[in-house]
Amino acid sequence: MGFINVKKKEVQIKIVYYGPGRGGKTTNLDYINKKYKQRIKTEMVSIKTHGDRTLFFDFLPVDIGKIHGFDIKIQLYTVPGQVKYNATRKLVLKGVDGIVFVADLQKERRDSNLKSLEQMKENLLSHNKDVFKIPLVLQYNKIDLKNQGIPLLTVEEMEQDLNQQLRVPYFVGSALTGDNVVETLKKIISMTLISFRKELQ
Amino acid sequence: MYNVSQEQLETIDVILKDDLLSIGVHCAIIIDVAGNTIAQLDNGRCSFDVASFAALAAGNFAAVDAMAKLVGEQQFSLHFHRGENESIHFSKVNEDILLICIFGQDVSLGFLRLKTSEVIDKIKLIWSR
Amino acid sequence: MSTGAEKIKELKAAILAIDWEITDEVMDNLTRTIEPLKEQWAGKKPLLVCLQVIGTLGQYIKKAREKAHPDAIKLLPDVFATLETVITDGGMDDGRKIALVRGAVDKYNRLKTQLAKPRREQGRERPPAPGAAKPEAGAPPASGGGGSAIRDLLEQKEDQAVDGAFNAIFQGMVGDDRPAAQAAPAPRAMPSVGGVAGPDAKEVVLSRIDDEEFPEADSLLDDFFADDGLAFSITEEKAEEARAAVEETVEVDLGQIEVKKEKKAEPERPVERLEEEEINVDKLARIIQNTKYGISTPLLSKLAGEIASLRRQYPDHYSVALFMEVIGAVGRHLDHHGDVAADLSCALLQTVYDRLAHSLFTMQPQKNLLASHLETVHDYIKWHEQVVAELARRAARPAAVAEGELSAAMTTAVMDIVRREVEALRKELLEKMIETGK
Repeated sequence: MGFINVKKKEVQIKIVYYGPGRGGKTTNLDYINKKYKQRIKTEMVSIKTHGDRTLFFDFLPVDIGKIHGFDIKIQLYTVPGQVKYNATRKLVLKGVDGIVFVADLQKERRDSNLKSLEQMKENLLSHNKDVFKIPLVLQYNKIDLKNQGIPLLTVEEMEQDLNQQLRVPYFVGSALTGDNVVETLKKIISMTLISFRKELQ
Repeated sequence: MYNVSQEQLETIDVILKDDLLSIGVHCAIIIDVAGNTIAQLDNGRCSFDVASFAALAAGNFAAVDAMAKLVGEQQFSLHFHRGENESIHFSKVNEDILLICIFGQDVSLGFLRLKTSEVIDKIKLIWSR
Repeated sequence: MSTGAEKIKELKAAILAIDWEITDEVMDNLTRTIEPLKEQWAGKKPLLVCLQVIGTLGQYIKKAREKAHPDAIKLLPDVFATLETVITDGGMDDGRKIALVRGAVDKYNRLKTQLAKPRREQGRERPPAPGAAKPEAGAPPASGGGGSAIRDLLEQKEDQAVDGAFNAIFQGMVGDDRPAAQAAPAPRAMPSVGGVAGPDAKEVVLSRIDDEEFPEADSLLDDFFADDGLAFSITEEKAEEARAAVEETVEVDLGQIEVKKEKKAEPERPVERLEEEEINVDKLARIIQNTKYGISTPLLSKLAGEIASLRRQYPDHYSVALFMEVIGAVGRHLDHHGDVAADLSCALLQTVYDRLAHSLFTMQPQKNLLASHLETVHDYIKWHEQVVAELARRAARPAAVAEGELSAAMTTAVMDIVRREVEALRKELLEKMIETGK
């Protein structure tokens, strides 16, 4: 739940990157953190396993500036992608304001995309949130693998699989090269801000 | 999306100051379960990143809470970490917000627990207004 | 002493338990562990005094609970530590033992004095640090001429010595604050989980809104996530152009104002003009705000570009011209010598911008506008002096020339502003006089 602090005139917004394991959620945050390090100024917090996998979450706070006099503080989280960590994923989704679903374009990951999205719907429901109502953006990640001859799903297939009912904006990108990473983030922040625009007037 | 009135926030600040900072608590923070910081008051010598702290604290509390339910407890009544110089005490104000106190060796945990339960009662009153 | 050692351990456990949790049960346990020790130490005054203080503090804390004075909570383990030292240190002579106990009792007496004061003063006037009491505590104990409190305690029956006065004080105090103190609630469990109406009522259900736009948000996002490196290479030419334009056009712009003014048949009052034109400085605001995140060449190019654009949009708005001149000068300075007086410069940017916004949107009376302009100029001159001084100190750069030029441009701008505004004021005054004359 976004929080408006009228006293300090600031708004805190929680955006969560969700998706199957090894899909590039942390890489998205890493890219943003590196690229805008100068402006972000605070450290990214990561709780990882020894194998460098996300154990609990990554956290990156970004203060983007003012709207109508309110300081907009965006808090970016990732969930751990590995199947066994669903309890933790649920916890991280608590109070979420906007979601980026990072799907993997690799053919062999088709099934895990579907499962992860299904589980996200359930997890949201457990927090009384509706996947059809919450601001949501899809990112079809790893397009950079195309040049390496790895079989990828087409955008049509991805849309068919994941976005047929949701009908939310999507970006084909690469978290590794940064392709469309910023666009994805801008879109989700923009959608989230619109969703409680009235509160900011 | 929710907000708290300026008056409520100011009252909360006064409570934190009068009841917690006055007994030597170094830093008192109210966060929501999503990890947003609602109020934060310190003795002027705390310089850590509050946003990250709040995110971790909310995650930590949520994790311990989930563990409690797994072993059949409604919740654990004491959530506390003791360090050499700084200790941290978590308490639940209501389903949505948490109170976190950071304090040194000179504050007795027993007394702090009394104080926080008093503060929680006061904040609940303000919150439900 | 074997059973004694056990009993001491029990007392220690009771004291430590209080450190974890203060409940009636824990406090009663403390009282229980004291009793057998009292019997065992009958006649050993220093030990009994310590026990007495511990017991009284315990009762006080039990009654006062969260209203207890923090120092009382701290004193409890303190007194116990003294007691422990006195009994366990076999090599300590009696004089030293009494001195230690006396130190503890001194602290207790100070607390008593604190509690006797109205509650409001308690917080402000804490008992002095333990160190402050040392000289007295270390005084020759045998003299017997020490504070009366200790003599009372050591000579009287301990029950009256401690309990009497102290109980009266804290009961009064606790009574004031907690009318229901006697019926102290059972140890409170953590707050119950039941549904709380408050927060739910405040929560607004977020909904995705697909067909709406939020231009302020988008433009903020564009600015924040601007890809500096890329943006620069694409717009480099434009920005360079704009910057060059700004640098060249200081006098030119002011000259243009002259020309256009002359063309107008009637001198126009600037305030009215401000109302006609919606001047949008949002972008400028964001750029200036972004300087807080760090100064970079692309950002300064953006600043120069925005200034040039505002100048182009409002070529005959001399108020905007002045503010643009100052902001432009500071921006150029940062671009050339980003390491010299950077904080000061950024602060000036913000101040000048605030004044600009204020003068555009809120100021009506002519004289305030003049004041705002003059203050801006004053700030600018002060800043300029400091920058020149700083540059001179570094001496490595031939800075004085460039800065001097800036200063000349400013002088022109300022003279112009002052002349215009004084003229406007004079006319206004004259009109008023004529009107009243009629």
